[in-house]
Amino acid sequence: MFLLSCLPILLPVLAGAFLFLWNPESRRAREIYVMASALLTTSIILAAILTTYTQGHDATDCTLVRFSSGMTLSLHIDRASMIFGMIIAVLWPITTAYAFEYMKHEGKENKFFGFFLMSYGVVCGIAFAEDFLTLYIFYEMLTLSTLPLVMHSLDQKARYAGRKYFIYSFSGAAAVFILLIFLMQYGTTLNFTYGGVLDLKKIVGEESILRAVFVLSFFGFGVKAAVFPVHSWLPDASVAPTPVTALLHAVAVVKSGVFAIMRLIYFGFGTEFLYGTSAQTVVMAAAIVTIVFGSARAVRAQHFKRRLAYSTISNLSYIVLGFTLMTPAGLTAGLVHMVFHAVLKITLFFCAGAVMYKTGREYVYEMPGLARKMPIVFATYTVSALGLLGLPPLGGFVGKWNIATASVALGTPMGYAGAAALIVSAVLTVLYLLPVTVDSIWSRDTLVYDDAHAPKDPNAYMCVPLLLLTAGGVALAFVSQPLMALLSGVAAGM
Amino acid sequence: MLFLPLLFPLAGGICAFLIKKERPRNLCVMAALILTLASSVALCLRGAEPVTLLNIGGGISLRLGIDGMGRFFLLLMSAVWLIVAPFAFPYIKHEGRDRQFFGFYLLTLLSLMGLCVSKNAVTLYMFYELMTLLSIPLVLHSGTERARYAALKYLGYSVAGASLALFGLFLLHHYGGSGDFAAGGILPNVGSSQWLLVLAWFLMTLGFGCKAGMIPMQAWLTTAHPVAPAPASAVLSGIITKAGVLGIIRTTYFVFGPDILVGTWAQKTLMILALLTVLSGSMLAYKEKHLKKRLAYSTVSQVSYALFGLLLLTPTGALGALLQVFFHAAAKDVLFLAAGAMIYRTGREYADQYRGIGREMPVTLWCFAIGALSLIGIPPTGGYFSKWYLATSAIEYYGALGVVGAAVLLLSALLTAGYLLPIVARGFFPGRDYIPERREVGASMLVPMILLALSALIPGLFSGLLAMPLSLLSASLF
Repeated sequence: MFLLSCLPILLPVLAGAFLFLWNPESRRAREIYVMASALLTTSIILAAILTTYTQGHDATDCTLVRFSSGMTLSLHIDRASMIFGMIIAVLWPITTAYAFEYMKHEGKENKFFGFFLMSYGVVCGIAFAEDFLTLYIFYEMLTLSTLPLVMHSLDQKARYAGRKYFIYSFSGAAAVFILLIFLMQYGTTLNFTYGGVLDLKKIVGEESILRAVFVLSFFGFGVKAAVFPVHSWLPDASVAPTPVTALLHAVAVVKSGVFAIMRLIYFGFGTEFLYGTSAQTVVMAAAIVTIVFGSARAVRAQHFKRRLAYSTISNLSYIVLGFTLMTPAGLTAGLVHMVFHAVLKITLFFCAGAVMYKTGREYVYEMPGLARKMPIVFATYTVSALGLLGLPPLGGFVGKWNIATASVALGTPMGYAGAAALIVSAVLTVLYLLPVTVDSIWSRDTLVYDDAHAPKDPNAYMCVPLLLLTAGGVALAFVSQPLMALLSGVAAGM
Repeated sequence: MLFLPLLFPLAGGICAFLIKKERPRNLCVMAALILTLASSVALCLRGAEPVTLLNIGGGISLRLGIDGMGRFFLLLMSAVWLIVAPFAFPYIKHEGRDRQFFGFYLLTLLSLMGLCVSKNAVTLYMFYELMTLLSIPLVLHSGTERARYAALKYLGYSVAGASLALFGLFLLHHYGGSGDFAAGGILPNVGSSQWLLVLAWFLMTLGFGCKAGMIPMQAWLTTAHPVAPAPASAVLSGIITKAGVLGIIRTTYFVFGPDILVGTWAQKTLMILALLTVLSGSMLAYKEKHLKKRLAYSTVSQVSYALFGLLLLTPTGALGALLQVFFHAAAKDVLFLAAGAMIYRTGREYADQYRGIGREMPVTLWCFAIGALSLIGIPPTGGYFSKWYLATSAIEYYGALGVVGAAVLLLSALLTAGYLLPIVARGFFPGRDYIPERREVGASMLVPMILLALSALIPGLFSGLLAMPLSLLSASLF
């Protein structure tokens, strides 16, 4: 059964590498090949998750490489891995279909889909990693495999964004390396253990330095999770092709950062060691500042994708805030927002991408009247926007409600500040999402098109993913209770 | 049973979007509105067991149910919605984009009906947000730059208000504040955390007060209401502001309960804010020349009468507030409709341009006059009774602040007379050298105005008719 957990990592990486060698001319052949690889990987991931769910957590354990007795590259699927694995397994093939159409106008598709497939495997490795070393290695590989995707167009802006992404990511990873050294020194094991791995005898007298290391590595992982002040690579990276910004910069890469922070707090240092300390205050404050900062910048941003990128920054910190509460309720709340934000934000990015693809318009003030020409795109945009801004019972509300009430339950000023930050951000969210809808439907000063050149809804490659994701986002909101029950398993150490 | 008042506006709204021909669409709108009112009446008579719509993770659920307060608002809202609709048919035809208007008109009613039958605070919040979102298109109707600005201002303020309320709810959830509404409050005795709850109440009242136009979040109202087409401004001013009042009633009397709030700093501060709103609204209305804007300022002032009554936290105060809700809805709707009719016929928008209008559109101006008298509070119109209860309960219970309150109400009544009666006077008595031309509006616009004017007048003549059930209702809150 160990194949089930290592195949979803190896298969897409090899499939991606093979695409470079093969370099097919035919669009059709490439599409079939890429889609088949993605779907195969997805089905293996789902099979692995199902097997683990029914047969217990050790069923799919796998050790890829053994460096020494304490240092291995090994995989293990626990409840948190299942959640993250499920998110990417569902979203990757959908994004692939969207990308087939979108990448027509960007070109260099073989290179793009090669790296795109490889990143699939790497993110899967992050989801299934059993210990900090494995997590670290896949984390570095993720930067490498996604860098060519960010720099895809290779123009001035893309190269700048790529360089920035590279420098930020590797600086963050360096901080994480320091964490590894300290964990090897002071921990009992590198394997993720709910409640923490610190050796209580060894840490006596060293608490403050360990907390400092925690804060350092929090910001190290925080680079990918776009926590203020190490967030600024993300808006710049919105020059990447839309499938990349949608899947990697709203879901896979940034959620890897958030996921790693969750591992760090709950499975590394342990909440008992951190709860109520100044270290917690620092990381909570960072999350709170990011929530408000991201939303405020999103209101000011006029570039559609940049605006969504700032929105992502803010929403990622909702999740981080949930995690930094260091309570079971906070953990569950963060995870539930992670699921909902993934589905909603990818849809919003797809809409922005569809508009760019069909009309070449990139700025929010260029939208007037477009909804009448592209009804499907703007309808899905509006529904997802309502979800994200927190109209009950849609997803954003469920996440926000749980994070805020868990935050208030701390009973400290910082907890109240967290709930207040969510409220401020919710108001700002309305102000940066809905004017687009309003202008696109009601604004009178529409540009006049002759009928032959009027923009239309894109074809099925794009519309089907949009509709699927929107329907999925809404449907998910109606099963939020069972979903929460599933997620609370993580907080129960499953 | 509980779903019917929500389903009819939904179905009607969808039909209104789809039907292109005018006559069948109008028929369909009327049918939906009549059915909504009928099902509301049936629901009020027969009652219904609470229903759970959906359990949301995190220990909350969306629940519907009906109680006395819900019945009052349900009937008021569905009746006014039905009465205003015929006025809108010719008016909106003249403005264009009919399908959009009636579609959203009905969908907004859906959210209001939901608001009335909400069984807990989360459900209330959901319908409250829906109401904001669905009524935005009514403000946006003309699609001009000014309408866009007004709509976004409306959106921003409303969402900020609703979010403040949500913040209060976050704080409350821990103490069981997201459970089912019950008269007298649902919070257990909380001892040392009382300061937190009082703070939460303060924030929630400010937040819901936004829709009701209370200081400090009143600025959107006078921008948004005048921009909308007249029938929309009528319901926005007359009814949707009352949704804010309903929100405050629900939180104050059905979640917190008056007992833990009486005499706190929050109560006093909010009372002062309400009085400030009453006074400043009237003064600004007095200064304002644009008729619809003047009426909007008047709404700011008048709705805060009701808030002041609620914040007294006494049975008489609550009774006065409920009466004020009813009579202001009737009076302000007739005023906006009459103003709309006058603008529709003459194109004049400023209060000093209506010289002789009483000769030209006598029925319209008579209706306007009755609405004005009720709004000022001159007996025997209904407004007199609501203001009487408000003033007496203020003096009875609250020494100095109560006397100041009563004085403010009186002063505001004088100002109200000052900004409404000159229009009536100049309209009926234009002076000698005036040649009127008849241009009264048609029956479908007159009938709604007459009905609303009568409902501002008749319950005043037979005051027991309305005051009896409402006094029972307000007594049940304590």
